Amino acid sequence: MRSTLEPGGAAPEVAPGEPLRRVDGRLVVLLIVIALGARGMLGGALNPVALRTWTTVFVAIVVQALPFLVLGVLVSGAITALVSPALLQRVLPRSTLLAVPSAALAGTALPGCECASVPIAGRLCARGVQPAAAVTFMLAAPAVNPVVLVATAVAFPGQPQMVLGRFLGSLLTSMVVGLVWSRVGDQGWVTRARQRLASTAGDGRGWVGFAGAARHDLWDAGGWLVVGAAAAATLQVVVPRSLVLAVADHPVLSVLAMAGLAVLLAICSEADAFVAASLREFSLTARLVFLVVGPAVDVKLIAMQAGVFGRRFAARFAPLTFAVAVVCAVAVAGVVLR
Amino acid sequence: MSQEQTRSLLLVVLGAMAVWLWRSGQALNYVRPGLVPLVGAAGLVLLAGGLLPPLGLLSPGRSGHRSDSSGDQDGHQHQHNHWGRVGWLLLVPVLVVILIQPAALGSYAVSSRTVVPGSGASDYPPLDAPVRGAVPMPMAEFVTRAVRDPGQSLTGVRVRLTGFVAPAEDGDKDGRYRLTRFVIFCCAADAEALQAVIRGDATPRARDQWLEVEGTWQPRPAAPDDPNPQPPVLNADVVRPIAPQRPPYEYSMQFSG
Repeated sequence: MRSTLEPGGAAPEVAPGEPLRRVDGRLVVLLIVIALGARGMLGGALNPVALRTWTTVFVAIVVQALPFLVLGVLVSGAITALVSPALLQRVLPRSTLLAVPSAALAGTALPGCECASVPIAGRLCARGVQPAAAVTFMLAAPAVNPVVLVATAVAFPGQPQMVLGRFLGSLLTSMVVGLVWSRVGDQGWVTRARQRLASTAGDGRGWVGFAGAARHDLWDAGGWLVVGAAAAATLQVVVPRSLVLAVADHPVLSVLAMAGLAVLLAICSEADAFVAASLREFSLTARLVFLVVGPAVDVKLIAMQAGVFGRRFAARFAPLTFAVAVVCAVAVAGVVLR
Repeated sequence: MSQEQTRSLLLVVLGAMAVWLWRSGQALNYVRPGLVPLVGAAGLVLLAGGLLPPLGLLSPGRSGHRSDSSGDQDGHQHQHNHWGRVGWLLLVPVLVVILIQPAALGSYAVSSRTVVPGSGASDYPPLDAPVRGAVPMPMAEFVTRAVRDPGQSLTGVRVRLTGFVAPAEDGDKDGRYRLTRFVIFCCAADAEALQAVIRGDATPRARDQWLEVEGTWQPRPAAPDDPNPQPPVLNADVVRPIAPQRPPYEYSMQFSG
């Protein structure tokens, strides 16, 4: 097993039973008991500072993502237990050119957040789905599902072209990234992710397979969700929004600023339309870029993708997705928002 | 305890936190009311995953030997080499919630999140009937009508607003503070602040104190299309300190639905 896949990164290859790797359950119990004993003591000390905003935003992102994460890992457990690679071979189109659009359309049916789609995409890969299709599904599912589109329509009353623009922009982004990734992406990561997921607990069938896969994916994706939530909360507190507002009038800079804001705010795709609607200083084009970039790439997602697919994957995939999303959104805006 | 059991324990702890946030109503500090039952449901699933067979703490006959060293099958031999350590971080939100009491966003979170809603679709519906001498309204309705309504429907109307105290900013003239309410759409990470500048309240007010304020709008010309207008001004005549509101946030910018 290659060490690059190990999210912790520091000392991945350790013999079973190595003391440093073992975290005893009693330690967890002890920590919780101490915390309960000290309950609220830190609250007073933290009250007046920015840390209080940080903790609320941090916990809010985790708590808000939890239902979607649980849904996602239940689906990924079901994929492991019920869907065999042979079945997928029979059902899915062989050609990449067919598989990618079908994956994008399949994504429109899953009403989840980003947090659900990352572990599902990982399991799909492990089950032998073409990487291009899995990646496309991962990008399309959070961005173009019915819940998100309805939320966008509510946030932009009287401007149905924003809903159309978002739908087309995100669909296009997911397909272009899938196709480009199938050509230029280093395919080694798929094999490694496959081996890694296959050799963890729960590659079996039935309840053990289901529970094992769901628990493993919750462990991985959940841990990285915490990392991403902490990063997003920090950026929200540290980077003043006025910095972004300063460039609102500039046609090019405003687009880049909104794209950057989408990456660092890490807002759930069901809520980002409301935030975009209130950033009235920006042109509709810039706000559409915000809506297309946000569900495809943000700090929380980058952390989770690094966990599921490895850090080398995330380091290449995030810039590619960012660039493609910005270009697609601007192109769609040119056609739709006139 | 085996690693498998310790991970089960962590699922139980995480699930218990989610269930507690749901039952105690503390989840309202973080997410909109519609999501709260979903947080509870996620907590129950986590508890079930941590407790029930085949892998949970209550599984019969699996204790100890299975995941640590025996390697009964090929697949399990390398098992915990592939379980990264990052999952332990799931303890962090639990510890944060326990150690730092859950709190809604307050005045320190306002910085440059202040917004004024747009004019919306078209019409402004008639005002609600006054209750005890003033029309109660959400902050979103007050700010939208005050800034956007060409019909100036607030002129001369006594209104009653609820919010907490945030400091006045440059350009608020003789306003002592801004009455503030956050609007959230999904969770507190997407909060935006709605503010009204309060004039005519001579009493010094502590930051983050919740107030019920009655008064009349200081008329000014409507600006239906201004992307970044100043918040409206309320000339207060009655100000009452109140307990923090539950739920702490408003959930829509569009009062007319």
